[in-house]
Amino acid sequence: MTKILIKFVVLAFLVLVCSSFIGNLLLEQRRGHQVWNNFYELPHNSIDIVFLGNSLSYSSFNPLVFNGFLGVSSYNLGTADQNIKQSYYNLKEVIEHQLPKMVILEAYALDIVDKSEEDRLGFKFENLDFQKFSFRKLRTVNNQFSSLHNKINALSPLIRNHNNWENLEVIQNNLQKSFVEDRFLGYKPIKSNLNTKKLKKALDNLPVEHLFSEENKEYFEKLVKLCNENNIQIVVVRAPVLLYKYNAKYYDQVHKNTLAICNKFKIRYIDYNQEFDRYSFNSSFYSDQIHLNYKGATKLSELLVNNIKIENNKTRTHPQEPEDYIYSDTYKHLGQIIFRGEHFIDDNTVIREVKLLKLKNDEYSIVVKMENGLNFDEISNYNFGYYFYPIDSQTPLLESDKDLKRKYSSLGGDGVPMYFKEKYYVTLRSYKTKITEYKKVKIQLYNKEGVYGKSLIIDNVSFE
Amino acid sequence: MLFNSLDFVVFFPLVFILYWFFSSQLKIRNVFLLLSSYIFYGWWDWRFLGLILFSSILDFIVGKAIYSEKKKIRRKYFLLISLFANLGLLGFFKYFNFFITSFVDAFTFFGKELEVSTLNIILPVGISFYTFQTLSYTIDIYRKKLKPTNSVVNFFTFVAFFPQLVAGPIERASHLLPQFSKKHKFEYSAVRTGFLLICWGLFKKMVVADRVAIIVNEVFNNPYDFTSTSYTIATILFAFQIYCDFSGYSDIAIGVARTLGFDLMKNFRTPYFSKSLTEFWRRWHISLSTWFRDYVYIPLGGSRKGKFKLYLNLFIVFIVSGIWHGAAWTFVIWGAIHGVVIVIEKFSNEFRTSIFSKIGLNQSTFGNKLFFLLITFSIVCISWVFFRANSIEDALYIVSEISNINNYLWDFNNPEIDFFELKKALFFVIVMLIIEILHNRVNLLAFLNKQGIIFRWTIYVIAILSLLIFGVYGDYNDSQFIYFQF
Repeated sequence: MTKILIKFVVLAFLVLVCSSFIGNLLLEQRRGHQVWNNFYELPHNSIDIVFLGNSLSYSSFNPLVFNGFLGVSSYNLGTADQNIKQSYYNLKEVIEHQLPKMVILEAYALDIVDKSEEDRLGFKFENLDFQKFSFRKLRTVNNQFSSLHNKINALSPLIRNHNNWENLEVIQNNLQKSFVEDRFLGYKPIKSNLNTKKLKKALDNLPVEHLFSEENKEYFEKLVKLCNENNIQIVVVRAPVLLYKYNAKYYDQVHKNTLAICNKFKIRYIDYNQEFDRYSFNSSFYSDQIHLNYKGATKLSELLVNNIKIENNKTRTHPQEPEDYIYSDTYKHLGQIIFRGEHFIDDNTVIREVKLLKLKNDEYSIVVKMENGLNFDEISNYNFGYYFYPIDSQTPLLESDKDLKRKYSSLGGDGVPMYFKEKYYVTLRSYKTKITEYKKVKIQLYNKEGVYGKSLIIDNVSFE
Repeated sequence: MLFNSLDFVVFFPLVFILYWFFSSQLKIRNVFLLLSSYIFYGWWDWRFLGLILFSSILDFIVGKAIYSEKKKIRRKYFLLISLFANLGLLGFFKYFNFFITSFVDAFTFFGKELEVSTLNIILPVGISFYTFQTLSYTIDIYRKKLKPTNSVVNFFTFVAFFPQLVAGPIERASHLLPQFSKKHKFEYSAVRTGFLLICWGLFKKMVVADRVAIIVNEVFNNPYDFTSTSYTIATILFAFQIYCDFSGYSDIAIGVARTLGFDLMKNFRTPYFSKSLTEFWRRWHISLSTWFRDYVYIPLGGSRKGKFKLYLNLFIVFIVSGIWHGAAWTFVIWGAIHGVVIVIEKFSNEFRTSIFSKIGLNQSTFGNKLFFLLITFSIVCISWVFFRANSIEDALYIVSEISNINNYLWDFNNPEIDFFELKKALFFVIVMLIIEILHNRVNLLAFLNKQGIIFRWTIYVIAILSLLIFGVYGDYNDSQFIYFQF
């Protein structure tokens, strides 16, 4: 009998391993999967700040800004429609792998009510799918779902998505897709401008009364306790929403309620809805009625980093992203200056400095420093074009047929400026090349009408 | 509880482990088995446990009374009590509304309108199966072929034995009942083949039958929206749906029983490879056809009272079989088609043999076999139209369209039936057929048992994963086995 039991267990194990592998092939990839995948790739105990919450967290808090400004390592573990119950269990999983010093919780996670077993099912599955299998995960699933059917679906993407065996596109995508490094560390940059249709629809359904559900209060208390037990500082932040402009009374009530619950546990609460006008948030910062776009997120992150303190970060040893050079005095001197002077794009817009940063072998960033006193909104409406003309002997190193034919390469960078110590910076985040010698490098601005202003041409540039 | 439900996935391993834990103590084991069977049945609707209990108590007492009674007339009375009670319950729950509406329809036909209301009666799952099983017990005692059991628990477990309670095979007391008095030794090879049979049954049900059902339901539930090609495809697919659905259930039942040390009778032997309808009924739902043979056809006189009586008896048996399958005229016609064709086969047997020998069709060649196989399959398929159609009008329309040569159209660019769904259905039907043909030639279970562990385990893992991946479940909801309604 023992022999048979052992055989049964081994067979069950084999089936589980195979079904886990095949389950991943049948899974339609969603953002939450990648977020957890990348989280597990982080070195053990290397994170100082973890962001939790729903889409308002991952569209509002850019860890790169925090890393650069505070010299910390941070990661945004926000997942779609995450409520406080999921945030609590996510933090439990985080603690198994990391010992963060601070948790920044986007407050909307407290507002989302888990109405029923079936409510937000897809989002719950998405948040759990790529969490590593463990007894803790079993307990998490057990606590998040009451029906056996949903528990099994949460644990087995194979069973849940078995009908995808006929969807060859999904399987092919999963076979091709290897690990994709997320440079934004969980933050999702949204480049689009305000979707007025969505806003209009939301205005027809403005919320009236705000209350926290009993379950959410209970899980917030649990989250606070968990943080206290692990010496983690917790800050509750409410990202500003465009709806505040149209429904201020409701958001004042939200502020009051959230402040009350935070005060109860002596938790710091920062509500940017209350600072909406002071910091001149407007529709150009939004992709829809609640989500900030890249411009808005950059602004909010810059505001927030000035508002929090974290001591003795231990994990950062060298700069990794343009933000590290821009926001940090420590790394400011690093990088190769390829232009310094005064280049007027128009009467008001002046480029002071262009710096080349070598991120890793054959990968560079370009940081363009611009003068204070410029119109922030105006710059963010421009697109920046970067043109690289290699010397003749290196033109064969150009990669695409198009570039080989025209003998230069070009890349677009967005114009959303980062602001630090009264200077604006725009970047070309990544330029991958083997070419090191250039006849010239050109930076050209564009607006909706086309080429704008006078381009900056830098002659004889060598990438060191 | 359905075999292809999550509930059963939890229920069965628990029963399996506890059953073997109690296996050395016969009484406890059987009490446990009885309770498990009642839980299995009560999971669907606990109120109908009363019906099984009633039948069990009645037939246990009647069986003993018949056996101890010396006077023939009194023995007959006792048997009639059992027949009336069991068939009365079956008649009430299954046929009450059918008879009422048929009665009203008949009066309407002759110009007299009647206003009689029907009752909202729920058909207890498997009532036709366990009624026949328990009836066979009292009839066999009456015929002095069987001694009644003294064990209430054993008899009650025989009636309610969960693997075959709701859709057969309909077991005879002489075969199954003694197995409850025996201690079963745990045999690894039997358990292994039992589990493989369960997998195979689930494959037929979840992968083939339920997938094929997507197309079949689409066509048969919208019978006026298609052309002849679609009706023909749907009818052929339904033949495989009902086969895989019902034989799949039987395989699971036999497999489950085998893992517990019980042997249940084989219910299907590749029926669509039959070369006549007579042969078809020796291979299709064997436990039911032999039941009708032993308890209806033979008591009617069988073939002992002349040819006319033989044909009449055969026809009656198939009409009764049709009614047993469902309380609707479509089932009666289905039974009648089989009855008529079998009578014709019997009637023309000598004539056909002589003609076939003259033209060389009696030789056992592949071509000849295929010819008769296709003829038989076509007749079976036409009868399935009546079995599946929602009304006689629908069935007649579909049959007329199938026979309308001019209406066979198929637009490959805009097919009436989802072409991808059809390809999937055909693929799995072919896979099923290949495996069944192979199994007919080589006993695949025995073959597998002889192989090394790597090969065997690879097959086990593939089998389980195939069910999980290709099975139709989840979003489609647990799909009921067709034969539950009978």
